[in-house]
Amino acid sequence: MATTPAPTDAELDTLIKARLNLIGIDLTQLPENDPTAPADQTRIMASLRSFLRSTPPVISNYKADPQKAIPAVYTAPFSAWTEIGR
Amino acid sequence: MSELEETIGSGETPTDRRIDRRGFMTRMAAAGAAATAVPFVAESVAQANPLPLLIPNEDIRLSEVSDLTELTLAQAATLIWKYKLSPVDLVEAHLERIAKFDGTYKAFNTVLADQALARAKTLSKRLPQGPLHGIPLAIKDNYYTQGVKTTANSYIFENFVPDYDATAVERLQRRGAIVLGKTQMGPLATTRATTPDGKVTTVNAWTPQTPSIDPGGSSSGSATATAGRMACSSIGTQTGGSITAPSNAQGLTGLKPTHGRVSAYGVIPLTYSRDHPGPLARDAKDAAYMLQVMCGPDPNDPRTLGLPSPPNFVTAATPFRRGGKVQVRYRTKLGVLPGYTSGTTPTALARKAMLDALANVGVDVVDVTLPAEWDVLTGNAFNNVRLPERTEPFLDYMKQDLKLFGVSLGSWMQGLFMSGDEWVKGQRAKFILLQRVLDDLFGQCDAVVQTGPVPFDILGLPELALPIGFQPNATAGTDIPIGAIIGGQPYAEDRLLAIAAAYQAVTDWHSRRPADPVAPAATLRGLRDAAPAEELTLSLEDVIATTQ
Repeated sequence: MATTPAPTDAELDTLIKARLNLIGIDLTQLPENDPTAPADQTRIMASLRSFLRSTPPVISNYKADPQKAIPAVYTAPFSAWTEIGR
Repeated sequence: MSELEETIGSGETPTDRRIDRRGFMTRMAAAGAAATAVPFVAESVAQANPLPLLIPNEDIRLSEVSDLTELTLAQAATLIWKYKLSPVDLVEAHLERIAKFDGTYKAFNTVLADQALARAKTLSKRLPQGPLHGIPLAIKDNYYTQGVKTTANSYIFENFVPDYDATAVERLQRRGAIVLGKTQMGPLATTRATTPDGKVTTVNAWTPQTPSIDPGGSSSGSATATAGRMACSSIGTQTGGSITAPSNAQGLTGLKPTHGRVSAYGVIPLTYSRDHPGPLARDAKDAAYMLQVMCGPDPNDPRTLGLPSPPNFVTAATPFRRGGKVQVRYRTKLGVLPGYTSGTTPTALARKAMLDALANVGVDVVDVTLPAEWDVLTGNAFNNVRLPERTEPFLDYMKQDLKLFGVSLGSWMQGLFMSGDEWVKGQRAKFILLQRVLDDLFGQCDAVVQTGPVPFDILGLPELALPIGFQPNATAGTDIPIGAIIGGQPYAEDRLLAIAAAYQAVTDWHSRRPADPVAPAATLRGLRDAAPAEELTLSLEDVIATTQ
């Protein structure tokens, strides 16, 4: 399997901004860098870069047998819905 | 264990023994081999779940009561049903405490004093018809309440007035409950209660002068209202730990039911597949009454349909005695996770004492091993699979104005950055985790202690939080509660309640009461804006790190 280079901050920033622009979310609604504001662009971008580096790779690299592990959104109800002879 | 052996305790069978756990495993294996899903077999749910006959009957005399707010829900209901206590007096007693102390506690963001008193007067003229007749409750502010603002402590809903009640609220009121008010919460149910921009509001009832002590989130106000004796009981929601955490933090008995046991219709969503409505109560019996009334199928919430019929939770939460000695109602193997009692911290010692107490009431305490890949399947990355679910219904608000999300914006933004294939993988991982928990973990025990609420929350399995001791807190200069969480199999709330009831019959942690605040602020107005004893604000990073 090919080894891919870790993306830089700048590359992630481009990804994030392109994604937000594609679906019509304007990050500039927030102040650019204001630690006193509830949220600002700088901190949101940092949080999203951190999220992209930490969460998707773990999930993507996890191996699940698609024949045995069906996607189950509502897990506990699913265990009851599939009961027979209850 | 055979069915016969299982029923030795009280002769009754808990819900988890009427569900074929291994049958589920076998069918899923077959389904995987055939690469097709087993058709759903749903019970007929056309009719609403009938409530079992519940006439409160606690051993309590009004002459023994010096403070009406000290009555548990079950005790107060008993006195009302025996015409020894008027709902008006009970509501007035709680409103007096709200007026006197909520300026400090900041548990409520709306107090419905006139409305509650009017309903109490109406109910006092009627024969009791429901088990909660005349019982004053606090409602988390993400439950729709007809004609009453429902803000979820968010800018988005700051002027939202629903035209109907959430199913859970409607059921509570139909059985006689009185809504005292709406409670403070983490904005959109994310963290401990704050204003939308992060200013801490609700304090822990045990440390009212020290806002830095976490009251538990996000159902903070419901917990403080109950612990501070400003409501007989309350309801909250949990999507990660928001019933168990505040219950543990404030010495309460909180019950996060199995997903689907209680309708989430009319609850502002955080994560559809993990939002659990449930009670925060004074003890197991009170939690049982609340759950009994709230639970059952709701045509408006398909997640509640086709599930096992609710058993009599109140019976399950009634201490069982044999030869005068308390004994756990259902023969139970309680699993103890590796390291659960390690060390000499107050928490470790309290856990050991809890297990000893449970063993003394007949619980078979056994060491268990965790399923394979536990850490990864319950870790942060797979827990984050919930995030797109919170983003999706709020997308239009995000396009409109990101500032509407205040300090909670972070996880809504993160939800935009998980791909569809990763989300599907996450759902597969949940299935794998469910299989392993049902087969491996519950192959070793009937219920299991938890070191945190998230793993069973991911699976929607029931969790009961209960107080097991106290520990000194240097910052507050006083003792604060220690809590434990016990998890169960799907729809086995009755077993969890039975364990808690047996424990609480031989301990008194659940009946401890926090001291009243020293310097109360006496006003029902401007509760939300009153300055706390010390100003405390959560940052965007704080919220991201602790959001449920």
